Amino acid sequence: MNNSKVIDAKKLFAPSQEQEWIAQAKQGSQAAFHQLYELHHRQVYALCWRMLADKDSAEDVCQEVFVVLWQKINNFRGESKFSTWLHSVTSNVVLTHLRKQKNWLQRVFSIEQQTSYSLPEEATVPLDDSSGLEELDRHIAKLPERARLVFVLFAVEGYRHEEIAGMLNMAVGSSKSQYHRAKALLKESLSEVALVGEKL
Amino acid sequence: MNEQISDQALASQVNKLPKEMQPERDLWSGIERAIQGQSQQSYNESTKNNLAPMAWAASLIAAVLVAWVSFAPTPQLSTPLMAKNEGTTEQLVNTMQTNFQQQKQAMLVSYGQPDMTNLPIKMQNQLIELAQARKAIEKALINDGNNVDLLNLLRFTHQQELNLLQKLYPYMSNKNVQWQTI
Repeated sequence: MNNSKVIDAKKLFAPSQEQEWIAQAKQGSQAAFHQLYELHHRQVYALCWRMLADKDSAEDVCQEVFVVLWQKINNFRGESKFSTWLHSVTSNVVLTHLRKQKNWLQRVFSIEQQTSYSLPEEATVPLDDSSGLEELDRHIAKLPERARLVFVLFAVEGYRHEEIAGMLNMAVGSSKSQYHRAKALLKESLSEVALVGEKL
Repeated sequence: MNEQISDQALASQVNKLPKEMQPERDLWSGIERAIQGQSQQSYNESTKNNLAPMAWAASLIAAVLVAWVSFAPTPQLSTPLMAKNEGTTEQLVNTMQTNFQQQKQAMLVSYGQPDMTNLPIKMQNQLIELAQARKAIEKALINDGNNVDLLNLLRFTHQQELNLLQKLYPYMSNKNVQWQTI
């Protein structure tokens, strides 16, 4: 009984405490910024991981997100929830990272080579991976990059197709078709796993 | 039979996905280093911007003082009065100079004797110019002991030099910090 009251009180005071940290971080307080990091970095990392499907890149980009956040925190006007705003910052940093990576790869491979080598689109997470990931996360990680990005942004993060199309520089129709493609691939791979499970 | 899972079942699995994941390595230390570097850089940039008007002011003061000392008319005093005043003015100038040096030294000691060479060359030159102007006024005062304006100018120059040193100190010490970080 008492415990539940304590938890309720924590929930009640958490937003105002967060506002205080945001205000202090805007004034240049690294201690307050660290508190914001402690509060949000797991969510930011989860989004980075799902979009990038690679642990090392996700960790690097998660760091980059917080460095960008430190630079841009004064742009946060409080019109939306801080976590919502931080998620949009994260999505943008991840997409910028992917674009840079693509540009770099395109520079490294010559045009001739590009005809024989395709850019690495799919992540290399094995389906029997035992890293503590949810089964669905492992299947999402195996999706082709565009389908994965659209699926994560639409189904997991709740963006609209119009927003996703703008972020990924594609037509709204393409975003929808990538989503359907992702859904079909996921359903297929999840069904296969279920079938194997049944046979065993 | 290969029966696919339904949209609903997939949506249900998506809803169950954890909102948070724990990264394996400590990410904060890298973030901290990066933002400290940025804060240092922006501090140095803002300090440079803040110091620019001061540097201009110091240059202007030095130029005015040099012009004053060079072109101010020397009052025509009778030889005995001049001789009488020479000793007392020299004493006064010496006392002012000693006071100034003591204050300057005390200030530098309290700051841990910062290295002036950490300052940008322009700032160092302006400090040198201000010191040269001060010396020129001291010299002129010995020959023109009755000039109250020159005495006031000397006091003003001393104060300006001390103020400038005080404002430049954080810049000098922060340069050191930046080098240590690198």
